[in-house]
Amino acid sequence: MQIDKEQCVGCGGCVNLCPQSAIYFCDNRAVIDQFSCTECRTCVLACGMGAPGVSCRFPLMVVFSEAS
Amino acid sequence: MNPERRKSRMEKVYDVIVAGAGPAGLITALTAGTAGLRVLLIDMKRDIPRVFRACCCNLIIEPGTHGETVTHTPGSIRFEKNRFAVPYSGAVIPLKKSYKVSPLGNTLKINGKSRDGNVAISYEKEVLLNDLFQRVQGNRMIEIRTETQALAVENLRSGVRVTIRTDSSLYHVRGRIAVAADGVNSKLVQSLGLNQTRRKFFARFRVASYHMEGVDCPYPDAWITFVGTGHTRGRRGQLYMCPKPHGGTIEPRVYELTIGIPVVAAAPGFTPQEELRYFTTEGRFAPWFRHMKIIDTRAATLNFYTPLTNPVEGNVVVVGDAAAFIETYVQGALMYGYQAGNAIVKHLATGTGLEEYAASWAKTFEYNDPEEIKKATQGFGLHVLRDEDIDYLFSLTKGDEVYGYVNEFSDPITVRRTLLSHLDQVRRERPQLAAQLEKFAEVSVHDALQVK
Repeated sequence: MQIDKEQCVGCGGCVNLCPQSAIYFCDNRAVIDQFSCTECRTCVLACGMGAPGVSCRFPLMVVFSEAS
Repeated sequence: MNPERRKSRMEKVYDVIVAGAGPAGLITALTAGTAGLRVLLIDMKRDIPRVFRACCCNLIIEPGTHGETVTHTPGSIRFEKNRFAVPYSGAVIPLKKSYKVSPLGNTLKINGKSRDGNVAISYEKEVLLNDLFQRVQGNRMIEIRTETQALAVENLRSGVRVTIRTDSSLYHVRGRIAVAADGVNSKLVQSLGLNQTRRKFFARFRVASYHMEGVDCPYPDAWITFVGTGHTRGRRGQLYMCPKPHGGTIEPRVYELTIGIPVVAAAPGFTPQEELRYFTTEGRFAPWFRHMKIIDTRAATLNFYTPLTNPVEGNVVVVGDAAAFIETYVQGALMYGYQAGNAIVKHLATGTGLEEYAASWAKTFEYNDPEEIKKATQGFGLHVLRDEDIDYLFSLTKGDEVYGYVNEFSDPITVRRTLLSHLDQVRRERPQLAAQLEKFAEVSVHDALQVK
């Protein structure tokens, strides 16, 4: 997951709800630590602004998994 | 960070570590710091007084709310029973009416019940936080760390150990008392395992609030609740609107529209942003928003847990929304923060004191009584009615003189009483609806908040 900085208003909801504590604040906006995120989508369901989204870290594997 | 500095941070033991610098955390820190305790105040925001989180932030003036009576006088907000005041240099807008508006346009009107004829007082949270924060900054006993978050707290044999994170480091600090003032989705409460014993109600709510200029609202001094399912595209959710002071002034008129949408995992529905677009361009009240310009957007995500009946766990004191069901209101956060601060000061001096805070919380926070949770949620029983029924019921109240406050505890009762006063007529004209009305008390909490 990644947070769209333009969409994020900085309410902090996802920061507190992330089960991996993978989200922190920088410049009053949420940022996801890509090494801790497990793509559980908790932040997607938490966010009222639609700011978190998938930006796959392993693009080649997406093709692979879609095919299977 | 060089190792030398890290070491010195590790070794310092604070009297009080306050996690979260919202209204609850600020006043707890200020109260403890003023008494001479060494306080560490941390918050994940960079700019503590800025508000990015949706919060209705009206002064709830009904006497007895959270066991307190709160009034506004120029320059301050006063807490009559606890005998203290917090500075507030901003503007206010007294709200004279509370309107419940059906999707078809009929309105239930409630007049202000206070001596000044107010239902509530609209104020600006950012100014309040700024005024408080200035005092906190001016207090040399309080050390502030921004862009820093408390992830967990542990009770040690004596004192506490708080795990703290910044964007580049993870470390521990030790203190004698920790204060969890980190809000509705508190990490510290979660880390103590206290949520396991709390019942979770409803779905999670996604909330967004929009500050708008150029709204052609026919009710410039009202708290407006948009009741019924027809206001939203997804046919669920809650919408409120009221005027807000902005930037310390009340001109030009700025309105805050708050949209809360329950999230059901199976059917996520629409986001508040999609609902905003629908409400302001296609909904019945779209004409109000033809010239609207959004000047500020805020958001929140809410879980509804039953409150912590005991907000003290060892040396950890839970304050404000972190301990609450739904919320404590900003004024409640201030009041409980003030009480907690004083209790901590006394506790560290004498060995007892936290119990007094816990007892006060148990006694005065309404939702500690399960009946209140039930009662408050049933107030929204209106939502189980069809929109045309709501509209019809509201049309009956046209000539009524109803008085009340904006308050989640008494407002539902006011509404119910008003509608039931027309029961005879409803029985004659719409017997089925009358039966539904009489069943109000049996509406389940799940139906009440439209989570199906």
